[in-house]
This record gives sequence, C-alpha cells and structure tokens, in this order.
Amino acid sequence: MNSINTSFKQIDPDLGLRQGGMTSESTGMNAPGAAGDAKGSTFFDALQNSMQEVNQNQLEADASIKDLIAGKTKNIHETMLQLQKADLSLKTMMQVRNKILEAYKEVMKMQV
Amino acid sequence: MADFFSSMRVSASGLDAQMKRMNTISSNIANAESQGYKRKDVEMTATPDRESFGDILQNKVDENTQGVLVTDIREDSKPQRLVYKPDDPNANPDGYIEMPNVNPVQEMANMISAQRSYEANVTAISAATQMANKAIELGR
Amino acid sequence: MKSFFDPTIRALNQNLNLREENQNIISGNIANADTPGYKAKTANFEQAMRDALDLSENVKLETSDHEHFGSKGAEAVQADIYDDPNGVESLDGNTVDRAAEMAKMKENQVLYNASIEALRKKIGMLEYGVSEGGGNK
Repeated sequence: MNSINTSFKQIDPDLGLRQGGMTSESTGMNAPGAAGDAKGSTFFDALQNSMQEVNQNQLEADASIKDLIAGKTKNIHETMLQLQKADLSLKTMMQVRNKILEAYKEVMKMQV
Repeated sequence: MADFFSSMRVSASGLDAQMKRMNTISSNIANAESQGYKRKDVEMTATPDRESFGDILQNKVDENTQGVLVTDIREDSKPQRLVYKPDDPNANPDGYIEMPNVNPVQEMANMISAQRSYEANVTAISAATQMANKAIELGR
Repeated sequence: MKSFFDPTIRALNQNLNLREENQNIISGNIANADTPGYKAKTANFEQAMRDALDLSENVKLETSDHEHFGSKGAEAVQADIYDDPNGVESLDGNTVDRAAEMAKMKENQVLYNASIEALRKKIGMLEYGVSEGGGNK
C-alpha cells in the first residue's frame, strides 16, 4: 500500500495548490475560483473514498488468502474473485487519480 | 531438500522398480510350463533419495524422501509343483517331475498391480513437472 | 528485499515450500506402494501453516511497525513428517493406499497452483502501484 500512499500524497499538495491558487484575488475571476474550490473538495472526497475501498478490498483479499492456505476453506474461486476485486478496484482508483491529475494540468495550462 | 527434482527422482525409481517387477512377472508367466524353471520375485526396499555423488560420499540423506530400489530378484523358495509323469526321463523315483510353482491367476493380479503402480508414478512425475513449470510463470 | 513483501506474500511463499515438500512425501509413498513393510508417510502441514500465520499475527501485535518482522515468522516453519497412524496394513506390512495417495496428490497440485496464482496477482498489484498506473505524465 506504500506506493498508493505515495501517489496520493502527490495529489494532495496539487489539490491544495489548486484550491489556494484559484481564488478570485489571484485569477481575478470569481466564477472559476468558486467552481474550482467546490470541484476540488468533491474530487478529494471521491478519491479518499475510493482509496478506503481499495484498502478494504486488499485486506479482505489477504484474509481470504490466509484462510485458503491455512486450510480453513477449500473455496479457491472465492479467494480468486476477492483478488480480482482488489485488483480491479486498485486499477479503477489509479485511473481516477490519473484523470484528476490530467484535469489539473489542463487547468494549470489555462491560467496564463 | 524439498525440491521437485527430488520428487521426480523418487517417482523415477518407482517406475524402474515396477518395470523390473513386470519383467519378472512376464518371465514367470512365459515359463509357467518350463520344467526346471523356478518362479522369481522382486525384492523391493525403500531407499532415501540422494542428490549427487557428493551427497553419497558425505552420507547426507533426507530420511523423509524415500525412493524404492529393487535389491534382489530372488527365486521363490516354496516347493515346486509335482506332476505325475512316470514316462518322463526327468522323473524322480516316485514318477513325479517338478514344474514351476507359477499360479497364472496370481501372476495376472500382480501384473495389474504393477501396471497401476507404474501409472501412478507417471502421474506423480507429471504433477511435479507441472508444478515446477507453474512456478516459472511467476517470473513472467 | 524482505521488507518489500508483505506478510501475505511471505505466507504464500512458505505455503508453496510446504506443498512442494508434500509432493515429495506423496511420490515417496507411491513409489513404495508395493514395498513390503513400508509405512506410508504423511505431514500435517496445514497445521504448520496455521502455526506460521498465528506466529506472524502475534509478532505483528507486539511490534510497532509491521516492517520490523525480524527473522522469525512464516519462513521459520517446518512441517512434521511422520508415519500415518491411520494406515491399514496389508499382508506384507505395507500401509500405502494408492488411491488415497493419488487423491492427495491431485489436491496438493491444485492448491499449489492456486497459491501461485494468488502470488502472481498480489505481485501484479504491487507492480501496478509502482508503475503508477502507467498514466503519470
């Protein structure tokens, strides 16, 4: 999970910058600033929820693996499905993060 | 010394032993009516698997991995079958000749057992090979 | 590289070791299915695996950082190998049940493969995280 934390921290200062940068004083425009602030917190929350879900899925997958190898269950397909779920939610979250970064960079290009 | 090669060597020893057993059984069946032939048996012993000559020199053994060795092909010590045939030049004073103590039914049962064991060892080698190949996939 | 792999990956690795050992034992039994006086061997490695996992759980509780795993844990476990007490002796003293051994071997193989797949998935997820989803421009 360390790599996920690192990438998340990478976003955090970016988002903080955007929230601070898009005030009406710096850009001289009210509407985008306000919209930007609101958008920023929503993205932030969505990403945080996504991250928690990913973490939860990872833990469930780990527990499922432990059960399988300890012989508590012979349910292989369940373990595999849990792993797939964890994998997919991780990939989804990463894509969401990438899109946010993309959007941020687009917006940054617009400022000048 | 838990590796798949150890397992394969053990299974290979099993194949070898069963093959020798089959040969002996075939020999018995073929010579069931051959006068003077003595029925043969294989003697099998469990032997610990040894990896290399170096290991043998150092007497390093893994007691838990045991293959099988045919240590002897010995002749059946049970008395021969006596058949009454006074005209035969080889007949003993009572008119009996000695025929091999081969029971075809028993030999057939042994043969089926040997065949099953052989197949089981083949399956064991397949399983070990498949698992070893699967482990290689981790590197992909 | 120890700190790179989380406890689950280490446990999976140890499980693979134990199952490999099990294959050895089973093939030994099959090879000696007709050896007079041979007693079938078995190992309770599921118990060994449980012990290993419990050990790692307990260690986790005592240390502040799960990275500080130390040398003990999943790797240190050996399975007990002993003569199967449930073996039925045939006329020549052999206790190997060939059909049972075949079944055990198949099960062992399937669970071994499952562990490999689980390991692949876990490492795949780590790799994905490291490559940052391939979308970082």
